[in-house]
Amino acid sequence: MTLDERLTRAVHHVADTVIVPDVDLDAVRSTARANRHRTLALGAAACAAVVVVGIAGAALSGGQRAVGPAQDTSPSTVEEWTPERTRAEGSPVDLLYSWSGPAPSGLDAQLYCTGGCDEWKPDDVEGRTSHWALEVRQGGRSALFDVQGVPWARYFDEDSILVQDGINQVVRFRLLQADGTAVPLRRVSDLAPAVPGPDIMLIMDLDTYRRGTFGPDGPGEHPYLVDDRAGTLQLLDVPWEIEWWGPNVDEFLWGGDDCRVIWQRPDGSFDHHDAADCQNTVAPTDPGWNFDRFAEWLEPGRMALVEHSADGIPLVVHASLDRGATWERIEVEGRPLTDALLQLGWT
Amino acid sequence: MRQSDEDRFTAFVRAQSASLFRTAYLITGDHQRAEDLLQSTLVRLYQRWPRVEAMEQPVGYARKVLVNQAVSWWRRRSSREEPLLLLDEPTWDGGVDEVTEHERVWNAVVSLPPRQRAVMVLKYYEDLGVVEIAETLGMAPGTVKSHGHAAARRLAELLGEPALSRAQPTEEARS
Repeated sequence: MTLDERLTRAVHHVADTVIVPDVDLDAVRSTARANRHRTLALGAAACAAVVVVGIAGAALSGGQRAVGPAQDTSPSTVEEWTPERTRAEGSPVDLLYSWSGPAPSGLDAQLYCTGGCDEWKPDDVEGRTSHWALEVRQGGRSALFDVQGVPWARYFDEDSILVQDGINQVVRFRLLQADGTAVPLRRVSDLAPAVPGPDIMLIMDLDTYRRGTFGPDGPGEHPYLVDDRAGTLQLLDVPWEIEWWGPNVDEFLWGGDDCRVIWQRPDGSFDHHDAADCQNTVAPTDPGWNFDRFAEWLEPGRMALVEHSADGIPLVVHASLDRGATWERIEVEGRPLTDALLQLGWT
Repeated sequence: MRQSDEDRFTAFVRAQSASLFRTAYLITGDHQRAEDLLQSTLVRLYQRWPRVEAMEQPVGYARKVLVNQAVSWWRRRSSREEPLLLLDEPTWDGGVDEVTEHERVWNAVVSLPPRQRAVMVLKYYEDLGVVEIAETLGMAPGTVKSHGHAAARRLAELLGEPALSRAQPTEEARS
């Protein structure tokens, strides 16, 4: 029996044996209508469950994070959508794809939405307005924040999440915490020196992502210096032609585009390697490919590029173990990619 | 909504919900989540029903909404899980109990990254072609083929299949 036949039989077996629940059409209709109509404000019980925080104007003591102007936390009216109302009346939805779930420190986030809630058209082109709220949780505390559209979020440090949100090409960046602290970050036009470090992180271009097709086949992440004390984001001064980046920009700046791998030399300048006779390529960090072993193998100083046929068959791994001083070309067609990594000294 | 629209929506749900649920379940592997996804998909359809009904393929739209929600959910969940690795499993020789074989194959499918899994479900359960899968997932046909091939190679590795020979380009690939 071929793999095709095995897959067909197994998938249909699972599908045919799963218990299909009855659909409650009344619930479908009532939910649809409830999302459409605006209702009265929440009860006190729902409000007491979380801390709704604004952004205060005064700096915190001890030289810690400054916060911005206060949000209105007065009881909501029929026309006013507060984060707690969105949470109570909306539904939990997924954060943008890069969110990886609770951090080891217990820091986590949950997005809520009510209305059209079409993440690809956050302003709901049919005229109904979607409302979004983000709950940040850690160690039994939680805080709700207003967000616009489905945000992009990533852990910044052990108690902060960097959140990018906005609609209609207007985006904002904030560091949000479970105690309600929100540090706005403004993008500085000057480029930051291309120096890897703990405050360097890859941030997606949300506007470009939303204007693309569904599915982040090329989300356009770029390395930024995030200065939480100054409240700034600065794009790093790196070669513009790097389309995708390696996984460890805090330690080693490298990436690629098509058949070229580009990396930073010890003196700070950039060098490149062109894979000869190369055609289609994919980054070893591409989430759409099952290259999870590469993540383990890509220690700082190591680089790789996978060349594949037009049919998507991996053909060659181009790799360096020594910051580009030497390159190896390993044929992988017909073999698992792990064979290439073993050949490159992976254990 | 007019009563006639309501009646047609009811008829659509009765005809398609089981299949949509099975697709959701195959992608997420979670009964409750599949039920939630089906519910939210039907809510969206109901909200847009007159427009959806006027589409050339309402079920295609429903599948698109459901699958994309399922992939989003599964993408987030799978990033926290260890992939299943069955490198030492024996090659199936036809002598293993059929149910066990199905479970083994299914476990391998479950271990795939979300988009690869969605491509495989749409291919092997929904029996969609590359172009239809591309439209459902909102990606280029070439990307569908890349995901499909990566998934097939991974499954072959997990299931002890012999190494795949180089595939001949399809008519689509040549064009």
